[in-house]
Amino acid sequence: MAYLSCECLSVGYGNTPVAEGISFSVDYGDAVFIVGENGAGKSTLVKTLLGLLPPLSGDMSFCDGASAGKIGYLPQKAESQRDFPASAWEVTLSGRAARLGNRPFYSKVDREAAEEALRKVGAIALKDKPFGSLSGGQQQRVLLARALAGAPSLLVLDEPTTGLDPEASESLYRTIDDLRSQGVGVIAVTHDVAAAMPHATHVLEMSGGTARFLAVESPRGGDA
Amino acid sequence: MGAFEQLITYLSYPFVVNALVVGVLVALCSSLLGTTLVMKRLSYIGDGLSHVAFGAYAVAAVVGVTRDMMIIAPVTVLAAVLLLRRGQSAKVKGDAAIAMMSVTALAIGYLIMNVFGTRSNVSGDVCTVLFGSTSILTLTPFDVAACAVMSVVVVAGFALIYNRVFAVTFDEAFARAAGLPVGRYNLVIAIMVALVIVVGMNLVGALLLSALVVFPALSAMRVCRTFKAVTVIAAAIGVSCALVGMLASIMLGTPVGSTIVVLDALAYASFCAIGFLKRRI
Amino acid sequence: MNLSRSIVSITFATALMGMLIVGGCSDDASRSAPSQQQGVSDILQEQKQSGESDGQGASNGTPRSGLFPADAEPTYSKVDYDLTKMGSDMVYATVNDMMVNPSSYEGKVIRMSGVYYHSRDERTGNDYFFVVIQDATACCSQGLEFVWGDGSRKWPQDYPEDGCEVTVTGVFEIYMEDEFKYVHLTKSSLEKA
Repeated sequence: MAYLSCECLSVGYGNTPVAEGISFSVDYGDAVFIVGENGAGKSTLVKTLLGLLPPLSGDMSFCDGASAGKIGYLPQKAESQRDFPASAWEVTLSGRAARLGNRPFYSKVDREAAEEALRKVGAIALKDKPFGSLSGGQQQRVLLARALAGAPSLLVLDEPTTGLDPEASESLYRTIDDLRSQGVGVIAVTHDVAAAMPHATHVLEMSGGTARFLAVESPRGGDA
Repeated sequence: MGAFEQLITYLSYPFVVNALVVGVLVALCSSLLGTTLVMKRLSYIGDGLSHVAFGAYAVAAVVGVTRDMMIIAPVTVLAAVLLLRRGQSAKVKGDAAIAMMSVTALAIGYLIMNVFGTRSNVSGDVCTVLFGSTSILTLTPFDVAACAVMSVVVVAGFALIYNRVFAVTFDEAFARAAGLPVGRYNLVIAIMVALVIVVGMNLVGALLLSALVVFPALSAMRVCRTFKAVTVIAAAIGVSCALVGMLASIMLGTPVGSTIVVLDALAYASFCAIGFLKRRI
Repeated sequence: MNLSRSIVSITFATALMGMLIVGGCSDDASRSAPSQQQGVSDILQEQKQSGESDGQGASNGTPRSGLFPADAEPTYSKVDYDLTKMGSDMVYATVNDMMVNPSSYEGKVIRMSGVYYHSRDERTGNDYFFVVIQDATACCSQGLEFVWGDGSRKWPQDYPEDGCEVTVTGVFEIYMEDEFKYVHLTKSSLEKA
């Protein structure tokens, strides 16, 4: 019973495939790290999984509550967010926007979920600080909280440790381990294979226009 | 007659009261939307769309339509939709598209008014539409009603979708991934911007309109740290400058549009100074 | 970095304001004539001094017609809308309002200053006289037609030259000509500014 299951998926832009024949699945508590060279199609795959790009061919199915709206996304850092006037709280709360339905305003439930998410990532102290004034690591944590605030079953992280120092990276991986122990499925694109390996259950290695899906033996965390 | 008594006398004229009401509503709408537009890096959209509106006005004038808002509003909405709907994906092409559309509309508008126009004072009409010197004081009852309705729609709409506007403006990719109908919200924002442009032209004219949209938000951003604070303070700045500007210009006999924009610029300078001092302390 | 940006912003804003103030001031200079505010009582004084005061019983804004000598000036003790005391934006807007809502002004005594022009309708051979004002950016003009006194004066002998500054006080009236509705100030006094 996988959150996400892909069969011979082909991704790309327009009609040009960047990578083909991708088959993998993400289960309850899995951590799938997507690795590969630049240009191998990692970000393209992620965008396709999130529905930002249409798949060129193949099957992509979500189940068990992991449909759009229940997927948390931590994008690569965008420059434009730096001078945006918003507090960390407002950014986190915006993770609940998809759950508003027809209501114009956030409810108490929404606020509690956002607060809980901030606590989970250890950023509750940053709540009222302007987002733009936070350090790279702190911003990543707030964005992660935003992704978690929507109570996702599946978490997709695009290069989450870029620009973080080793200590901040470790802290992020520990958070991922915690989430996995609560049953969240994690997909993460990373360049830093060495640091990521101890935390992975599976690896999706993309190169040469295709991908290999491998299970990792005895991953750390997740059983603690 | 003291200045105060003179002001009271002026306020007894219905067209003055109309002007103040419409002016305040227009300033309110412009500053609310301005925050969103500035953050989407579309500050110049006000300028671009107002030139398109001018082109539409020219067509309306040549065709001889008296209620020109009936032509200007739909055309401007259409242009806004085309420019804004693509959202983030069109960002790279965004400013070039705005520049082309804006300049072409302005040129074509002026050309057809001169070649086909039947009015006696073409440059006067053009000047009024571009600079809005006293057009806010010479609104027809239809203009007033249309402006009032459009403004109320924009303000109410903005309040209702405020939270979603924040999510979409801060990070469109995330909003899309989370399942928000981003295209629909971009469309709604585009329509609201167009409506605000159409009514705003009466207040400050097409050329100065982008100031009304952009300055209050930029001023607020110098000092405020949350999106809510920026939105509220921007609205307050926009409305105050418009109100004081209108009253000052009718007392001093200056063009209304320029007076308001100068006040907006002064407000920006002040807020820059305040923000600078705040950081130093 | 922030300091220099702030300084640039403040300098720019001040320069802008300075340019507009200077621009505004130069406008005022060209409108100096109407700024001499003459009350109606001053006009009465003038009339007495120039010896044109025969048979003028001006009370309640209604000069007795038919009893004037041809060159008598109507005078009004009460002016309902004195545009000479208003800022130029208001003058323009009020004249515009008169065109758009003439019924609100009918029968009222209006006083305004502006530039005098004459025009002749070739088809009817009628002479028309206007006082013209401009809006604040000086790109648009509005004119109000007026009838001097009882309309018996001859053009061009009795009238001033086109383009001079005048102050006109008269009664606002809607009239019909060839099935069209027009407005003008009747029984007006005309003073050169």
